[in-house]
Amino acid sequence: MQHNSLRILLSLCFLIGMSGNARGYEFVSITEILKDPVGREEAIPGGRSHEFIEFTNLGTAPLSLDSLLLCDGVSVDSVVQLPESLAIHSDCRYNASVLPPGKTAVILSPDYPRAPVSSAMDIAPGSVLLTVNHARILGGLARDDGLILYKGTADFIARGLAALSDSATDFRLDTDRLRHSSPADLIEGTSLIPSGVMMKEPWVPCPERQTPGKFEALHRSGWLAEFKPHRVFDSSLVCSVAILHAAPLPKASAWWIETAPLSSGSRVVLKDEVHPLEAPAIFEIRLPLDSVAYRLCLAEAEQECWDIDLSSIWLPPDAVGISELFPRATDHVPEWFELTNRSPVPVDISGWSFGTHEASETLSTVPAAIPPRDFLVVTRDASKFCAFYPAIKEAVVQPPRWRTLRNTSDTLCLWDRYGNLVEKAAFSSSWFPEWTEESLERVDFTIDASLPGAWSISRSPTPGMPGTAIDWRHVSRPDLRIGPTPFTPDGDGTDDQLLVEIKLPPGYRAELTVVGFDGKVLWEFPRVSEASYMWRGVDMDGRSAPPGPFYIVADITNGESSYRIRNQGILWR
Amino acid sequence: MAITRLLQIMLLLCVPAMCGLHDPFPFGSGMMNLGTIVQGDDLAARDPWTPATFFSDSLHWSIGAAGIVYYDKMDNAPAVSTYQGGAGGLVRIRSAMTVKFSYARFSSMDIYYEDQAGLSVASESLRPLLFGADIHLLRRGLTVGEHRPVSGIYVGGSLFLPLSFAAFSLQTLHPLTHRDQSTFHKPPRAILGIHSRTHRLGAQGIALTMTDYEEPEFAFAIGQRFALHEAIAIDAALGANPFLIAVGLSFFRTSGAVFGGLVHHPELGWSRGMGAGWAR
Repeated sequence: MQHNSLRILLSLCFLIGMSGNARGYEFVSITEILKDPVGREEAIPGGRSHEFIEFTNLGTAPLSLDSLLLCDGVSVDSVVQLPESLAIHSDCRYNASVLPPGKTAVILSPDYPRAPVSSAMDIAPGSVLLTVNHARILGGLARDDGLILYKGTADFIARGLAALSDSATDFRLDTDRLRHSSPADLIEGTSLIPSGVMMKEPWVPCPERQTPGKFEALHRSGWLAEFKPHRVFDSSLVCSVAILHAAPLPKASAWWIETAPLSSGSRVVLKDEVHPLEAPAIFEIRLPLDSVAYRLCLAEAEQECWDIDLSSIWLPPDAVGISELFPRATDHVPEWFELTNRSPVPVDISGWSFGTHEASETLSTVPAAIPPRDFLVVTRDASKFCAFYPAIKEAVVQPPRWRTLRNTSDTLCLWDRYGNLVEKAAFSSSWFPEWTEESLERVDFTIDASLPGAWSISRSPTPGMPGTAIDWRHVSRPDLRIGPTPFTPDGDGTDDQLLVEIKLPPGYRAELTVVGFDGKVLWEFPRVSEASYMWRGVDMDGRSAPPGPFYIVADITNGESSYRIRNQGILWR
Repeated sequence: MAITRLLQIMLLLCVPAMCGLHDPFPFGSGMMNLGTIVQGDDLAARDPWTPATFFSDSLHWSIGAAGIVYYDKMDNAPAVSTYQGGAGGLVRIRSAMTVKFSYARFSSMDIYYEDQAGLSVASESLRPLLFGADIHLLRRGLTVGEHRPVSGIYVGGSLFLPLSFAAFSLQTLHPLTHRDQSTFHKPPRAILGIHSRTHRLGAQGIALTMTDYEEPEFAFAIGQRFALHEAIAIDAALGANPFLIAVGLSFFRTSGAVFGGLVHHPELGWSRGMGAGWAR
């Protein structure tokens, strides 16, 4: 019963812009819109020249571009051909009468050809370029403008094709302006894209700022698949899946399967048959909650595959945590903190928030997935951060607004998109008397992140990658190892330095000293903050230590308890 | 007379350049009191590892042996120790000269070893001042790898001035020849001691050690001997740089004595030692 109900509900979503017939179906979707270009509203380049609307033919038949109109409820524009080809976009299509299935058209502002070449947009090759018959698209797109794309005349809608509206659209020419809200923190020059066209999903900022002429979700082969998790039921996650092919397919069945990449290989967990020939196929599936990453694959489409993101509705326990903190910004590195996804499923943190219970900020308004067993850096200034850490720029997010981390002590909470508290981390300079400009690294995820034992100073910050401290801090009891024995610091290139390796449980602190056989301290290492140290066989005054036995002493404290580990070595010259 | 002259010359040569070995505290009975208690006629004076100058008894000869296991078991090598064992004796010649001889073997982790043979000669020709000279032959080596053993010679001089209430002592040691300078780089050392006579409160002593001339380091020790009985004594001492606490118990008779001592280092733990001597 639930299955049928869901199917009916989802089918209703396709009434907009989708109509079927015996030979296939027509399905047009607006796939990108730039309402607020960079620059002043009336400037060229700027709002006057760089607004655009992108739509894609996702049906099985070519879409005629005759009698194509845009309406925002008040104004009506005819969509017309560009008067002349643009040299800067010579690989785009002009004067096209139809939009083939799977192809994308871009409606440009009539003033776009007048804009300097230096301001040209990066329009995908092969895109059909169009414009409107008035000076500006619908008189200029405001941030909350909605619109419809239809066939007909200025006074009559013969057939509605696609709509961009906050409310259900019945494709009427009305005197009320259509509304389509943009996120309040949408950055100027960033377009909006739909997070789903078959299932009515919210519009989100384009992660790449703008990609005119390119509908990223559509595979080059013409396949498009979308997922919508609904609820957890009977140890399974109920998910809707919609699949279409934006072009005619041979009359053959396509099998779809879900697989789980396990160490022993992929495992098929579901298998069914789809017929996306006369309409997009919509299914309800139940995925077992066994902490695996699912993929949907079309067996007869050369293994077209999509990763299924379950994180918007369900996450494995303790999937995401705060793994590193850098509250003490420097001249070159802004404040940042690092999130780690410890689960085997990708986690999209868009819509998540961070801060304190008194004040929180959105983490990301654009899709930002943390791959399984990977990291994501959240920073105040992404460009400045990436200038210092260029190797990890793909895993950096800059929230629309930053909540400054206090240098001495602070609390940092992380909430998911539903407001559930995911993590609460805290730090205090009193926990680390020797803390200067280093980052704090999470060394134990089994204890509360607001306890001092969960953190350690990281001498070398490791944003976007595993920390250096976890290897020597994630132990249950302290350990000290030295070598080689004998140790011969005679400059011959062999065994010239003594390696001192130490492992400490979280919350433990240690001081390392080298004591000579005569009982005097030869060398004192700084308070232990790294996994290993080297000793060159000299005392604090630079004099060679005497040959014979020596001792490495680790004085370890954990709160009020303290004890000592001693290792003996032999020095020979 | 010629011998006395020769010893005086040797002492003068040795004093300007002094050094010492690496032991954290004296080997032999001196471990009980960190070398602070010397009577001239007691166990320490007979000890083969103290300068012959310190001996001023009427006995004709003496032999002794001692051993020390240094520090606690270490966490990375609980099955092996650092220890030193040795034996030696003294002979008085014509009641005017004392000759001490000794041998000691030092071993650490069964990897590193030192063999040391010592000869100490003292003259009583300038009584009450006793003076003498020491020579030590040392050989270090490893029992693993292909590292060649290294040999060296240490020389030193000593003075001992027993007065009615106390005795003053000075001893020095210095590497004279060696094959590898880096192996025998240990700086010179001089030890100045003041040692009271035994009285009803026992005996007390202090020892001040200076190491290196260019960048001198000083160590200080103070000791006390409690005579529980004419044949039993308890020694205790405190040392600074490094901080050491020493205790010991000795049983002695006119011709024989045994002792056991403990020395504690705050970071390295306890050293245990014992020894015995016989004299006629």
